Amino acid sequence: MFFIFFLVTAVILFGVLIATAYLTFLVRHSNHSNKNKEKKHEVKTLAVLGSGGHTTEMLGLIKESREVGQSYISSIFSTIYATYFAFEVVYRNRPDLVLLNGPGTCIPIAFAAAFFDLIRISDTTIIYEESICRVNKLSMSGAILYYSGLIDDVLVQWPGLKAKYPRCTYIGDLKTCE
Amino acid sequence: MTCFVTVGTTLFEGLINEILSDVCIEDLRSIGVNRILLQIAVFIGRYRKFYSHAGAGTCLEVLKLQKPFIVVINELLMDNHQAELAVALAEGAHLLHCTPFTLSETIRNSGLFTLIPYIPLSQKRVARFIDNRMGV
Repeated sequence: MFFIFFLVTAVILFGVLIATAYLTFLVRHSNHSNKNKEKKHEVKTLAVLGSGGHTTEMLGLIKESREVGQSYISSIFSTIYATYFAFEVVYRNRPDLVLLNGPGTCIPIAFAAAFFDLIRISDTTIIYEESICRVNKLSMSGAILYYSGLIDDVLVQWPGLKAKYPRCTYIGDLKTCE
Repeated sequence: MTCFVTVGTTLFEGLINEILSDVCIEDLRSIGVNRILLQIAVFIGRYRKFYSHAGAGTCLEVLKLQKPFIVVINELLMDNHQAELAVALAEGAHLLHCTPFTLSETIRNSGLFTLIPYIPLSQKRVARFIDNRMGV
């Protein structure tokens, strides 16, 4: 009897702990002003290169970035191994920034990065850019990340998506250079 | 004028059969095409006009060349989200799109030679946005 009581209490407390951690995570990641942040000179970046078209788009983005020092570029996944591998890679590298643009194999990386941020082992910004092919509807991975709230920004390349998913950022609305 | 037909890296018999039909060849001749090149490889160089399946990679690459461009959508593919892109780009008059069944009439469409060049949104904006977000 006592054991059952203990078990139930433990489960409830654990649930409360997880819920609190998730809420603080959401609060931390919805405050996007960087006035309190110290100016960084180096951002440790992790980019996931999936299959063909996604890789082309991601390399296009990386090329435009200010400076790429050391970047941990990981590829080659298979389903079950991917999750374990994702946690290992993220834990080993503790990136400041995770860049994703699909395909589905980027999901474990996003979860791993969010997990280590949730338990305060690292401080990670996760940004997902939707492929230019998506005009009316987010891709599966985009939608999972959008609805889970584990991601800082979902960038979309067509205005129609912004209308349908208001928390996205349409890249046409971003300021042009300087 | 040379017409270049590519199926990207997929198999698209419908397009190849249609472009080689008598009707289409006649239409091509009527708009001044005297050479047809069929290709499945990656290289796309100096040709005057393109017919392509709606693969997004091929689409964007060909658009850079600013040539008359018809995207032939493979309607046999399920959940063909790549066609979404072709339709959206056609709305901005950057290309024409059709299926193998309507290829012939699309070739005769006078809009083919008055397409608007497509200038993609620069990824520089995105890079700058990320820099800002990271406080770099």
